[in-house]
Amino acid sequence: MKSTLLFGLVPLVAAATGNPKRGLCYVPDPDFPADNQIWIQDGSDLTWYYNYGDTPSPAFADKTQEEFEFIPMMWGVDLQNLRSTTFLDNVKDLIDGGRNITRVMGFNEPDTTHEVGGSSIPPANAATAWVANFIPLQEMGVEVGLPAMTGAPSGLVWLQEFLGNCSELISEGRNQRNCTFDFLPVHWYDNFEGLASHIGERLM
Amino acid sequence: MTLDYFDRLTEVGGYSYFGAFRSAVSNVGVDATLLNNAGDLTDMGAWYLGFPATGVEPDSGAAGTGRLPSALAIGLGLVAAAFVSGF
Repeated sequence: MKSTLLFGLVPLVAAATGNPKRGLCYVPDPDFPADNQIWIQDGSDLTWYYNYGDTPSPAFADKTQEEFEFIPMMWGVDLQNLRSTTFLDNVKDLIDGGRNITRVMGFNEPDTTHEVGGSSIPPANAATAWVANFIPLQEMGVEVGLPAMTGAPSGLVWLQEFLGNCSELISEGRNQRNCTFDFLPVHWYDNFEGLASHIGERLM
Repeated sequence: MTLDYFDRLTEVGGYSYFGAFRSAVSNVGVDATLLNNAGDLTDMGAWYLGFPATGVEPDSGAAGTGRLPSALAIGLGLVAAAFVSGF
């Protein structure tokens, strides 16, 4: 039987304003909860947010992923239980509950101390926690972002050690495998020229 | 300028600005925030959301002295997280 495909050209309805790349690093001010609505007001270009954790923020709980995408992050690890899968389980719960998580992010600044907001994790320990949580997520089709380093050059060293450790964990004898990732989060606190150079270095 | 760069570069899959809070509670300096002390969008805050400049100085709206931020100060105050993709 001959089948015919008929394509109709449907005019695209003009999408609401929104820059697909531009997101919110959500740091609520407990004294002024009304500030939270500023970021999602009509006409705002912001399309996604993270809050350093794995649970959507109450202020945005009624936003769907299409309206204001929540990207869970595994901020740090439990050094007493590196194989804990609390993060993985929480993300699965979100998905099972109807929130289609498509992207997740790794540890926040493990290359620096708690005092300045880092999660302070040795690369090998981070690799163990990554294998337990992020590889299963990848197998579910979720895109994963590597741990985010500080802007210091030593961050690249940490990442290289981490990836080496990770690949060792999943390789066996002749079956050598590499840990993979979909995106590389970058932190930058300085001027534009340095940023462009920093990103360029990581693209190579 | 930086927003254009991020938007144009295909290798940049996303970005977010660290400073979405009031100047008074900032841990990245009083000039780098998207809100002034009264919770009004500063120029950077407005631009980041896609709105026209507000002319609101970051360190204004409360008992601080209003200081006109120079373009240089805004450039140097850039704090950003971006992610590079396409691997």
